[in-house]
Amino acid sequence: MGDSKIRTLLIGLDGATYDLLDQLVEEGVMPNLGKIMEEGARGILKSTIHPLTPPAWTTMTTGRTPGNHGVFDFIRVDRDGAKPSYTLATSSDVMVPTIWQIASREGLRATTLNFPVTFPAKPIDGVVIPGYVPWSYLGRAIHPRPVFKMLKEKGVFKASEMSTDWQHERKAVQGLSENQLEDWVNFHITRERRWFEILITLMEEEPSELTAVLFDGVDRIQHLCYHLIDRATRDQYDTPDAIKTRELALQYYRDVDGYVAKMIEKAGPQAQTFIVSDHGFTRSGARIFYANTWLEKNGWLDWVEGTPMDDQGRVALDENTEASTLIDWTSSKAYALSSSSNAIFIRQAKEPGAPGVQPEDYEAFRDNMIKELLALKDPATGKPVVMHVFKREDAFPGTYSDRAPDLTLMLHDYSFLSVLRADEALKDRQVPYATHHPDGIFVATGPGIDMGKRLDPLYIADVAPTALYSLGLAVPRDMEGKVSESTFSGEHREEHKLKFVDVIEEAGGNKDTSTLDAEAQAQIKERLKSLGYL
Amino acid sequence: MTTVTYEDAKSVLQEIFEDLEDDLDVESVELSADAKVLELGMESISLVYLISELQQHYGLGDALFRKMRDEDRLLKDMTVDDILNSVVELGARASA
Repeated sequence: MGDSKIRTLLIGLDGATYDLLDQLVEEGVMPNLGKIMEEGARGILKSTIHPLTPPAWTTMTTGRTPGNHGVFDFIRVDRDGAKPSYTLATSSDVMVPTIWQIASREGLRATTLNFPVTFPAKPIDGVVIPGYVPWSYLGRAIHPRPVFKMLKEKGVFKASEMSTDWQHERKAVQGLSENQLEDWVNFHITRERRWFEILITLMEEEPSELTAVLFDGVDRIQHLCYHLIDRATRDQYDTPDAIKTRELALQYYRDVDGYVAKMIEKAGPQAQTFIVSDHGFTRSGARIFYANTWLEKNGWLDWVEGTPMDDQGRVALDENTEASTLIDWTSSKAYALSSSSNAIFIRQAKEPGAPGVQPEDYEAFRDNMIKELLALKDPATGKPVVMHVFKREDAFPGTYSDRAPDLTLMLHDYSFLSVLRADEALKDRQVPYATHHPDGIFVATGPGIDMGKRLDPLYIADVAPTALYSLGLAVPRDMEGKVSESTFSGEHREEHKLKFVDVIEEAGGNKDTSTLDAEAQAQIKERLKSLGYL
Repeated sequence: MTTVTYEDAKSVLQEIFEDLEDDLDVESVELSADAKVLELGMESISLVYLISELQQHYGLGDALFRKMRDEDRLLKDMTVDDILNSVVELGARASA
């Protein structure tokens, strides 16, 4: 392949938080990252209003907020039909170009590995291996095709070890016993090694000016093992299984630390590196908010007869049944379809007498619901449950705002809600669990970086224009994110003047906006449910 | 778009299958017209991606899946012939 040298290396650590990383650095688990964070520039990276993988990474890689890129969840809710349904978010739902598309358009090569909402791959000059693709299709999903053959010949492509083990995750999302956690962590240790080996191979064989990789095991391990790693809680768990899992989890972080150092070294001394996360992490509280049950108790939702009560602290169904099939659509006015989005949709009546809220009553209905949500207190603790309720137009303004939920909740403990039926709207969580927090990480190192700098908090949309600036490209004026100029040294900024460009973007080239439907989506939804997101 | 012929659709399907065979190190698959796609050696989820690719290749949006839904047919029950005929039919509609 060509002589491209890496200008910009973007390393994604899904869900990485300084709360754990600083501890792991201090304890000697991540010495390389510690050195990079100490000597480079670092700051908090504020996530999207609801810090969730698909909208957050899409904001990170487009520089646009969800209202303007079109991705709000793993799913896109379709309210046009007689009853609500949903379709899966794919690359066709991303309505604006990503940084790798922009780089490619400007004559640079780009490599992107394992990012969500990138299947089917949009053609670029470079390499795309999408995330969230089943193992048996992962090879075929690689763009361009010859790269798959090359990776296979090199012996680094092991699809079954790289893709998500959905069956495994199905169990994991509702919690695993301590002895099962070991397998869980081991699976991700192997998985990350595979992605690392592929990236190194591509750096040698298919070098790209913009090279990006996402390690998402950080998120998966933290969901289930945070309590075993965090020094605030780890001493409470001292069984042999817990100790073994903790050691494996630390090994995972040691491995990632080594990969980061090797990738930076491989990228070369000319490369600027950005290590970022789509959101942070924190421990969940001890209670689960059953949103649809709460709606039911307020008279805004009815269940289909026979809908079972959850008594296991679950946020979504284990079996292959969509949450939408539990809801009685002849009468329900509001609903939550996915655990991941923390969203409540309000159903507007299509015509007088039809199910839902009459359009003229919508504002009052929504305002009342917000008031009730903010007034909700956990009877067990007396504490409020909901920290913020965001209206659609406030949380997700933009061209595609109409796809967004009517209300998005931020719970006091940042946890995800449950879409299931229960006897009470708030119930105890059965196993320790950790959840997403808005504060992610942004770390920069390399030539031209203002080394040792402690940055003011950045917004996640700032990463895309900052990466374009790092590449030496002009930044589209309509990007909502801003170049983090303070990340770069004064000398670098003087030598590399920030340039802007007026670009009238086609809507992401997305005339084909719904490439998966019907059975296709049913089957993929099954996989998402296994993650506990639906 | 230009009219899609049965043979053209079959060649595209064949190419996808050949790639997947290669990816998974499985024996060559014979795309006989009456073979059910689910019986051609892949896990069901991959068939979903295959159909998605066919739709994209021919610019059909989600017409193929929509047609299956309208006809109350499941992917697991469809034969190679069913899929190819559907692509041809939908391609003709799109180009009309």
